[in-house]
Amino acid sequence: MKIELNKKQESLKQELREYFTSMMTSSLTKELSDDKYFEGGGPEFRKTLKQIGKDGWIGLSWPKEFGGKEFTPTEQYIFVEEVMRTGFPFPFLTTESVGPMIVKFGSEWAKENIATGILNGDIIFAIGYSEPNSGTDLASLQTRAIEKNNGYLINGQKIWTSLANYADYVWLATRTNDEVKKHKGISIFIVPTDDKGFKYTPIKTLGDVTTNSTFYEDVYVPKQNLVGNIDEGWNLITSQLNLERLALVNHGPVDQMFQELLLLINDTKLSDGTNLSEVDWVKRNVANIYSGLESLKLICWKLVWGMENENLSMTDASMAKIYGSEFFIEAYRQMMEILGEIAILKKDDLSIMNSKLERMYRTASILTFGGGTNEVQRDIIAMAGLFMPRSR
Amino acid sequence: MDFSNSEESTIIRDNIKKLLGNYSSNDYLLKYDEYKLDLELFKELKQGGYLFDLESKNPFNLEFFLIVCEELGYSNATFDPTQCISDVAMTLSESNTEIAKSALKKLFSEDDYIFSSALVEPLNYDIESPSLIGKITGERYCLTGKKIFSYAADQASCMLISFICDDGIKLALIDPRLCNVRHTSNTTSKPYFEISFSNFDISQDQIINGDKNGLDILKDISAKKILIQASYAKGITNRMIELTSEYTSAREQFGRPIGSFQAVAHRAANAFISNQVLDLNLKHVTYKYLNNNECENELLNLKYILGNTLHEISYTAQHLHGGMGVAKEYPLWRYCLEAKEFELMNGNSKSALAKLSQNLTSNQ
Ligand SMILES: Cc1cc2nc3c(=O)[nH]c(=O)nc-3n(C[C@H](O)[C@H](O)[C@H](O)COP(=O)(O)OP(=O)(O)OC[C@H]3O[C@@H](n4cnc5c(N)ncnc54)[C@H](O)[C@@H]3O)c2cc1C
Repeated sequence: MKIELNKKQESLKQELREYFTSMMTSSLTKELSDDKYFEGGGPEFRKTLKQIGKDGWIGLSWPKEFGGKEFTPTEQYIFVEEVMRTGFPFPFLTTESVGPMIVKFGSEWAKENIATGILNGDIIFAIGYSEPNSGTDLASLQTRAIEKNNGYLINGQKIWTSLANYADYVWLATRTNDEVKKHKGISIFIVPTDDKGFKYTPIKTLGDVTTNSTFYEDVYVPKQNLVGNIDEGWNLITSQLNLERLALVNHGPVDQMFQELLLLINDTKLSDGTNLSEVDWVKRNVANIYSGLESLKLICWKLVWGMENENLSMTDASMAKIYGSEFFIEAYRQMMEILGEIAILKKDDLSIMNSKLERMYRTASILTFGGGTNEVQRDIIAMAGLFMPRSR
Repeated sequence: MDFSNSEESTIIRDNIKKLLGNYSSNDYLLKYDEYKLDLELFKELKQGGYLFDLESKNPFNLEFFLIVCEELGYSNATFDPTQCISDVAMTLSESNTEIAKSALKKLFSEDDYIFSSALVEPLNYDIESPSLIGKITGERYCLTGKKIFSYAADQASCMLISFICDDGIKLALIDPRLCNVRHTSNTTSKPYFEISFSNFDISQDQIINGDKNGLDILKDISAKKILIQASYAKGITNRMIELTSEYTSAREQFGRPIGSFQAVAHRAANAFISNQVLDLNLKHVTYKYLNNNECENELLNLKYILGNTLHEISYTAQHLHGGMGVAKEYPLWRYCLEAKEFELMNGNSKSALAKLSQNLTSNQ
């Protein structure tokens, strides 16, 4: 047993911390603090992403022959952790989910043009899976692609297509066969957002995350835009899901906030003169958060270790998703309690920690139902971990 | 024992529900999403007799006001009368000072006359122990310090503040237009202001303590605040639960309503139980408070429960709705913002629990 990062991993962590800290220039930080650009898409963001590409930090999990780094899952986890600590909206789904699948299953055109564009930091994807009637039951999706003129004609509607407002392409899941079981008749296409049949309308959300309804009206794509074989898209959707889930619950961002909070607590006097760090319930909140963070880190580490040793357990993946997403909600709550009313202030002279908590608490629920809702994850644990009968 | 509601309270609830129906459509609320201050609604509440009743012997009736607050919470109302009525007007109605009487007269007679209070301080979980210092110089007090979360302080003609001096805790009425008032943008977009005092001068006749001890006045304000917060909380959680049960009954995935999945139904049922617990505790403490029974511990317990319930039900509702729960085109999101505000205002569940445990163990 050896439950710690090895020397190489520690030094990667250090290297990444230095690299990303220096990358966060004041103009980038300013742009990211603008409500319009905090999710990326602004000129500074684009410029930085290109630089990251140039510096070779995109394509971590990709094979070396395609210009990737072939990072191990642990190294990828460290990368996600360090980027997330800075608050840079790194397009992980494009670089670590879509990219590796294109180099593995994409057409020659896609490999040459799209994969290279991703590696260079030029291309960003939106993920078009969910539909108004197909959320958790994703396999029931109805957006259709019909073969026509040596290509495909796409019609339908997606919902919650995040980043579609500035992405260059949508990674689109479509129904291509009604004659087979619903999982079997799905195909993935690369759809350019500058097609005249593509439209989007923004959906505003509680956490100010802008996502979109996207509409596809007679969008024609040539065959080269199909990824993998026709009707075999479901595997492409699910194969990356465990890694994606792991990125969603990375302990880095909450740990970063926790470290900032600890400094603040030790430095802040309450109005009655006592130090914030001397208040009993504050101490208990701090310890609770610490305990959750330690556990989450270990759950995630075990998962990446399993992945590295080709021993990925579905139970562990589901556990990480549930534990992380539910812990985040509690951690934000407990941090906000410590700050009191001030925690609900938006950017203001009085607000503490740049009102980060105020925004985070508003986005926290998305992870409990997104990325595979937690009820289904619990079903998986009961079934695969406890060998109990299937619930449906 | 009788847990039923009086006929009179049912009538009040029905009437206020009807009135608020005109002020709670999505289109109406949209107009106030950037800045949630609706003085029209304030006037309507005033004129309708929902904030005070000049025909009765005591114009303020806390029991009825709590019903009004619950319905304001339920309808996501665009005006919050808590500071004006409960913190200030009800407090003034118990003061025998001239300034209190004349301020109240104005509230009763002028349609847009509004009070605000400045009792909350940064990083002070307890309004009963203000740290704003008033230096006594002869017959006057000189204030330096800061208050936060004063509601509609830019509209108010009169503001109640608390401070501490060598003579103990004082409460005074001031004209907010004479001090430094700054808007602070916040999660619910309510008009909250920071009030800064720098050598701010107050005369003896602005003090409203009369023959009362300042701490006792603040304790009473604080008790009413908890009851009002719990009433708002109940309105908010009632609506969140209602939306959740309706939505999960209608939304289908895997060919069946999501509410028919046992895990969904059970989580909704847990929310229902927590909401009932909040309701029962609120009723009990209201009863005790209105009958002048000692209820400090019950109030702390209520404060503890209301924070937990708001937190739990807000996230349950969001989760069970999936994406729709956080979309601004659907009504739930505003309730979630309100829930967080009421959870954290004037102390929180943990600080209340700590105080409660101290009381319980020291009594023994
Ligand atoms: C801000 C935001 C960004 C998003 N970005 C994207 C994106 O970029 N691309 C994309 O494709 N999608 C995206 N999504 C969509 C997200 O993946 C879905 O919200 C998620 O899959 C849940 O689907 P739903 O919202 O339709 O909820 P539903 O499927 O309606 O589920 C709602 C609730 O019902 C219950 N439930 C459902 N099924 C079951 C079951 N079998 N057993 C027990 N309980 C169940 C659960 O409590 C669940 O939380 C985004 C969503 C949001 C809010």
